[in-house]
Amino acid sequence: MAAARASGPVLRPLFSALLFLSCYVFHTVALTKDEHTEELLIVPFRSGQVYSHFEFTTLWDLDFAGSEGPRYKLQHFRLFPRALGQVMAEYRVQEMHLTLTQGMWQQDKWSYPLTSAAPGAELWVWFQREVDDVDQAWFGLTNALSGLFCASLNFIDSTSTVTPDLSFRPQGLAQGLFKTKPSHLRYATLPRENVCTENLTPWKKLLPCSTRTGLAALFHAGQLYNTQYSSLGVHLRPVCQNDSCTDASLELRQVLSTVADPPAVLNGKQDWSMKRYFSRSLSGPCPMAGTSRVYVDVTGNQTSSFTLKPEPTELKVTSYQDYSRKLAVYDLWTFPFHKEHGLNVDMKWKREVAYNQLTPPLLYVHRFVTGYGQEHGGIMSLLYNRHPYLEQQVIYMELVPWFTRMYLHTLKVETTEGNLIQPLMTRYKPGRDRQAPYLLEMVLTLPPDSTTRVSFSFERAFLKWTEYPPDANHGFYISSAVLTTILRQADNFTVPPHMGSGLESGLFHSSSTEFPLCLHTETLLISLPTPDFSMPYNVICLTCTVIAIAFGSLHNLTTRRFQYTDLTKAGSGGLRARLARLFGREKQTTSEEQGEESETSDENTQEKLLNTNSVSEEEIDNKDR
Amino acid sequence: MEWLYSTRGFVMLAPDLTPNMGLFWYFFTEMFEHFCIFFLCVFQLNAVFYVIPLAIKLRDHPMFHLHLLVGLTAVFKSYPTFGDAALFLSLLPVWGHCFKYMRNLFLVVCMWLYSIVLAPVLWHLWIYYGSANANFFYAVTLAYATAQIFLLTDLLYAFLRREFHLRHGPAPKEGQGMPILMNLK
Repeated sequence: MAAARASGPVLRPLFSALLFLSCYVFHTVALTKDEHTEELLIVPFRSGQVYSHFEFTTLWDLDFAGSEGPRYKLQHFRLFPRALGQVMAEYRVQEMHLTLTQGMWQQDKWSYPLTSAAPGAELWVWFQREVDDVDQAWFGLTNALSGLFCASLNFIDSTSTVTPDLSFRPQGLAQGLFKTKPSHLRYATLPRENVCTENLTPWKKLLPCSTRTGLAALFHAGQLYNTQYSSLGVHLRPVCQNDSCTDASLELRQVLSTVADPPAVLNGKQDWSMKRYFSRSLSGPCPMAGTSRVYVDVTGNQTSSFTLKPEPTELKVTSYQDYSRKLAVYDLWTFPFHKEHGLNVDMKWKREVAYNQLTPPLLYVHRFVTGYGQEHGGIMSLLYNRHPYLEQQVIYMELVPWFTRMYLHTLKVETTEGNLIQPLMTRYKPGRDRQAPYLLEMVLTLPPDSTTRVSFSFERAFLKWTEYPPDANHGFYISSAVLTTILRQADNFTVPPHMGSGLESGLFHSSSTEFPLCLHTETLLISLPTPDFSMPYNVICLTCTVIAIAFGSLHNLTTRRFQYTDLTKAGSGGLRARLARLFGREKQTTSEEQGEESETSDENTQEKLLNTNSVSEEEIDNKDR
Repeated sequence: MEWLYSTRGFVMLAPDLTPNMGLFWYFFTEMFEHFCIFFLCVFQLNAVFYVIPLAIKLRDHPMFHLHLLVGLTAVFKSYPTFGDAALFLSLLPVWGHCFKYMRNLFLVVCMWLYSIVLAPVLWHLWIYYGSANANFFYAVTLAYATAQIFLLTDLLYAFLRREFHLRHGPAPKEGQGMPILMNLK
């Protein structure tokens, strides 16, 4: 009894302290519930290239309180990168998509990518509903992102920014609290932008584990940028927390896609391994990641044409519509790293790559420049619809800079057989010199099994010499056109587009029948006529000389009067008269006239003067008589 | 009032630098940003200020004054065309009586022919073949402007000289030696 009474005063505060601590811990966990997933998908294409797609997804269950619209309450950053989160909150961003891409995704050989990206830098942002000055927020956001990713996004200004009406609809939540205004979208692209290690480094720093462990340990910049296609992406959007969508969470997807060309390196065989491709192997999962997986597409192994080592954790088969795929899954949480000394996925093919005819997908698009000379030109796009009996409705968006002035009356949409196609809807925003680019959006219905030609002419403008880039004769880039549509078949997709987060939901739980697709065409390079850059001083001098000729002559003629001068008197007349007097009047011409300006009259004119004057004198004499 | 910038403002500020037969386009292509406004004012002023001195000199001859101004505008306006020069040239025979006092007629005709023949050739070479330079076409533009200026000033000289002879008679042949007709203040 005494012992119990003695321990009471000690235990009670201890218990309350423990209770308080546990409540605090639960409270903290409830506030910042976020989870991180890292996934890698490797798909060997039939053309020999290997497609690696890294996806790092962070889902953060934020409290989106706000009277009029969503408002980020950003506290207690744990897995979500603080640098990015604060930028998003400062500029009231609802949805953001930034891609930095090098190379061109070849649609007819590689089908559709997981995230389509335009070559160069592409940024499109939906701002929250209650933002008043969207242009101010856009300006601030581009400069902040430019600093964050070491990319020249600060060159985005009004000459490269547009607000499309039909394309680039929100990919995240856009109803209720997240309802957006159509004028709060901004799209800009910088096709000349280069992507390299200095963009990868800050992008890597946004990941929770950085490059110490997990899938990000594979990033070796030298290997990643030695590829045919390399794309960095940051995608932010609000998503539903559960199926009933009572709460929303913020999803950040960091994506890195590369397409490498092993046959070019390894004596004709498609062999690849992580050590060879990334020059390192995996040593463990990221401790912050709830899920850490590597998927390898082994659908093409029906005839056991390759061997995959080590043994995958499991082999899953997925099927949607009539198409089934087999995937080898390596779960890094259950993989025995201590036994295998690192995970080095290795695929060895038995035979060399046999390049045969690859079937292009059902819908793809190419674009090119037409015309000759540096005054006019044309742009033509070919939209291929290879479906045998279904027609396809697409939204085609073309963004042309101000110095290639598009002529809308030359726009022609027709099939290669010559049938004119009438667009269902056309939205055209004309550009202004040095202020805004030309934007053309059309809703087209592509007939089945046809090739549609969209073409228009443009005129090239002449720029001031300071507006040319350092290598002026390289030319100027025109950004890609964007094709947006909804397909009913999923067999051309590497992973069918899905509403959920992470690759798993797309690979295994996809049950939708409509697959939104976004395709980018090639960027175009046109050369504008250049002035001579070494000439500013010369041009100023010569033009001012011509103006001075006029000024001088007219000044002389208006301020002086005609007068006779007697040449026999000494000291009168110019040099010629004095010389004539000196050498004793040999040239006894009747009258000699001097021009009012000795600078402009030259020797020939002097001779002519003498001749014409003598003629005129005679005429006057004749008239008098 | 945005239409004002697109119509009057366009002529005054000359934002478009498409090559034409004038003096503005290459000058403002190669101009430093810092001096743009200054030189724009100078050039536009140059196009208009000849009205007053010529009005004082030619106060008794308004038609001729008008003709000269038409010619000066054809040279110095921001976007001149062949039509402007055509207007000036078509009125030239009205003063045919002054032609015998003109001194540079041959030079003017030669320069004019040179620039009219070579301008499309050098333009084509620059823009379509890519073999010539912007400087070639610019030189032709300069020759064209100089030819017009010579014609204008020569015409004015001939007109004033004829006026002088009308008042003071023809130049004396004999007399005190070699009389000269000169301009003196």
